[in-house]
Amino acid sequence: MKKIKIIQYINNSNVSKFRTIIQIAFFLLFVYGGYFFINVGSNLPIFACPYNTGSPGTCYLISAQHNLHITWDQLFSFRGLGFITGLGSFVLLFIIFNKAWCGYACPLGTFQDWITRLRKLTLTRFANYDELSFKRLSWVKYVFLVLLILIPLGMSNSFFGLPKISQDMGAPFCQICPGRTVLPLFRGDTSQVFIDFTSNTTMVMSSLGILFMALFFVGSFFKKRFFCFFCPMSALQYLFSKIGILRLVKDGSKCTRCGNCSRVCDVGITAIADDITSKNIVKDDCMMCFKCVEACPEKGALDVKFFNFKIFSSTEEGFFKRYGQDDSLTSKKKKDD
Amino acid sequence: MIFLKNIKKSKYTFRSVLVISLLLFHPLVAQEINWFSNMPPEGEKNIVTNGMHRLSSKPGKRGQSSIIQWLRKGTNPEEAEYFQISEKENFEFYLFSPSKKQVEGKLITKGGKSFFSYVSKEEGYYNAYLIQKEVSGNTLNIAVAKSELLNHSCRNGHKLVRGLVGPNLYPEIIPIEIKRERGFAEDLHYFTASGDNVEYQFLVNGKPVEGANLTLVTQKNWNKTLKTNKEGKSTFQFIQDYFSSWQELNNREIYYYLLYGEITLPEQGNYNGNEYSYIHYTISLSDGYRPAKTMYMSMFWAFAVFVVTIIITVIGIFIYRFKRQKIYKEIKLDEKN
Repeated sequence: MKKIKIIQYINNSNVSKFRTIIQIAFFLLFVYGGYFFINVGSNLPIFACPYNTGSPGTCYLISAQHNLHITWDQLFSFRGLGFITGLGSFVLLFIIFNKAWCGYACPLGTFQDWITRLRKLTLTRFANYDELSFKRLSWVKYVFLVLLILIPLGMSNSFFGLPKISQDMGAPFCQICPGRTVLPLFRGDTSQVFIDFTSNTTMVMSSLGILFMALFFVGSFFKKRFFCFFCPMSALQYLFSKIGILRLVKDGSKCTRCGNCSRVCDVGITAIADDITSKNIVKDDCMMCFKCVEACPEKGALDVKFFNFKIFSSTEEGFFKRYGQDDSLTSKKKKDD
Repeated sequence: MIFLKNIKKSKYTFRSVLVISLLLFHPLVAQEINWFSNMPPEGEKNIVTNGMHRLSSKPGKRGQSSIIQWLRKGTNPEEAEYFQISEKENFEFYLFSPSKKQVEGKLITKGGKSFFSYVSKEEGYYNAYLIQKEVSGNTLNIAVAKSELLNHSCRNGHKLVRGLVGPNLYPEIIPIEIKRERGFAEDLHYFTASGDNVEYQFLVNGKPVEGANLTLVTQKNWNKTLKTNKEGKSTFQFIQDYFSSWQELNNREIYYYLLYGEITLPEQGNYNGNEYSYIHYTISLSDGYRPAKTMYMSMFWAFAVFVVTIIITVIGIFIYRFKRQKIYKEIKLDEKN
């Protein structure tokens, strides 16, 4: 009886509020944690940026780029183990919380959510991609991921007899990543906001970095989680998402295709409503915020599972408790009733 | 002091007092400053600059490079002479790893120039010291050339950073030290930049010394001398040594500085059968510093790129939205037809 009450309490709770608190805590940890002598390692599945000196750890993408900046001989020797162990620890960390790292822990994601709140305050209409644009643009992150792997390799090796790529590319993705320019701003450090005139390569890369920073601000203002859609970390995570312990599971037989789940989705995934055959519903752009579960009025249609244990489920009671006042979501349900 | 009082009593002129003083403290005035330099001599081949700290190194077998630091004398970093130290001279050379262990480093003389070389295997600061002792008149001169060389690769991760940034001191072996105080958030990516206030502590036998002269000389020969305070500390602000026609930032441009300190302390003793009444301590430390990213037009250019991108994107979004807007139009159907 007590167990049922606890489950009922969780299913009726407002996960978004809980998420906001967790996000603030993680933001403080990953932006200022270094000042408190906290060290959380160097293969994190989020943007904990080493360019921000307050960061207690580093994002895996920078480690991967450094580990791949070696010759073929080195890559297939003892030194190549660095890449394997780095990837191994990234995967180990990742599988525990799956893509919830993006929804709950990534400081850059949290900052985008704050920009969205600012947009809401200014009563500006948000933007969404149409289905075709969504499909086309969702490839961009995979292109970034491939370049992120190939460019460091091309800096140490020659591909098909072509000249090696300039060393000035450094860690190429970091040069254009908004995390490098934006996160240090939270500790008053503007040193990453500059154009590097050392060489043509550094000039182009640092200019692109500033360009992406500007697009990050404007994009996040008009489109929820704008950058996450192009994030190569998200692409890399999706490759291992199937083995994640934390899962978002759908029971298609219980789904009425009301579309609430896709309407509340910050990234705009429509497949979560349309797909009634897949059980594991975590898509490559999903950040596991579980807003879809909150917005689903059908009992057991969407479940969050950890080690196959249901930890949060969609219920009619929970839906009305959370959205009782929100006409945009309940009107359809009322009409149906 | 007693000595000077006696001179005054014997009615010597000021000039004679000065001449006698100069003769007595001849080693103090004439002694040259020896220091370790990262700048390769002209015509030196096969020298590459490695890592973010651009340390000079020679590539070796299996991708292992040896860090090289040349021995120079004089107080003008651009013009100081490269010299050789012969084995007959009385000197001691020490190299300590970041884990405070004494490690092997070779002091090599080639082509009339001496340099030391070592292979860095550990993450953190390697400390190198060249100690020279000689008795001149009634003074024992102890001259120490110090080098603090940071070894870090992001490939190795960023664990235990606080323990690795040091500073490491060896008062039982090295009689005199200049310690650069570490910043609160200092990490393995630290690099002094122009405009920075850097605090140095002057220590003799591990204890801070008040009233010692510390002189900072930049590559362009700008110099400033400060006396250490009660805690043996002096703070120098690094001036801007880098000027380009358009003030564009060359982020890889490193300028070198030489910091040296000296003090004479009364201490009687015997060194190699020679009696002395004073010890004259001299220590040098050289490193590089970068132009501050925030001090140049580079930041202005970045700001310009940022603002222009934001303006273009925002205008673009509003034009797009405006074009898609459908003006309300009432259509009246002719029901008769």
